[in-house]
Amino acid sequence: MVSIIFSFRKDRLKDLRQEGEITKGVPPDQRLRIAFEFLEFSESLYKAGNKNKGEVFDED
Amino acid sequence: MKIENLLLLVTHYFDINTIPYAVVGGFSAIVWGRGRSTYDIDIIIEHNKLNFKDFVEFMLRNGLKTSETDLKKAFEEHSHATILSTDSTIFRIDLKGIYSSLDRETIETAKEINYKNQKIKFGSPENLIAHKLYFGSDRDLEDALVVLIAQEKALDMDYLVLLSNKLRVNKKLERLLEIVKNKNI
Repeated sequence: MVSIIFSFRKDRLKDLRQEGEITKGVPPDQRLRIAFEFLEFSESLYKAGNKNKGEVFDED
Repeated sequence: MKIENLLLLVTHYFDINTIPYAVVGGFSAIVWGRGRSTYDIDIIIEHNKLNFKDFVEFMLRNGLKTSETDLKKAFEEHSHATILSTDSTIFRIDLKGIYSSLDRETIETAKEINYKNQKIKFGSPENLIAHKLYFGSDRDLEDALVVLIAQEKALDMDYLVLLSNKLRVNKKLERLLEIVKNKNI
């Protein structure tokens, strides 16, 4: 079986390398806390967007 | 319910009822270094140890929706059961049982992370990288790369190679390591 060898776009790879280097020094619990804050924020944006469109958010 | 509370609640239930589990997928990627969004909490549990009635009652008491029928059907079909909150949150829990020796290994090698005075078990970074290489989407490969860089010194490379061989992604791992080491790529 021949494995598929992959690559990343050069500019994307630069960003990903940078992300990996930055996050090295961040403890896992802090990463979780930051993620939760971001996800709560993104949910509030999502809900606000739905209200503005006059759509009813699915509560079922 | 806040997604943070969702994770704390369900993992606490597994702990107090001695049900082995591991949080995998997006949240495992986040814990090991990948900053990204996800709307579901993926958890593998030893489903044979689950008291379905008690679990469903606990979920309902805490504002979450699931049923014994849905759970049993999902585990029988080797699929996942989705647990939704009764409020309007977009987040959800996807529960999967142990369907293979690798699923069992994921649970057995899970690492505990202390969060808000609770120990939560996450699939190991080696497990995450190998599985991301196996799934192989653009996003999976990006997750694998960032976690490999972030965890480079902490990784058990022998175990990562062993796991990659089991999942037949050893060539992909070699390629990923080459990309990490060679800054000119």
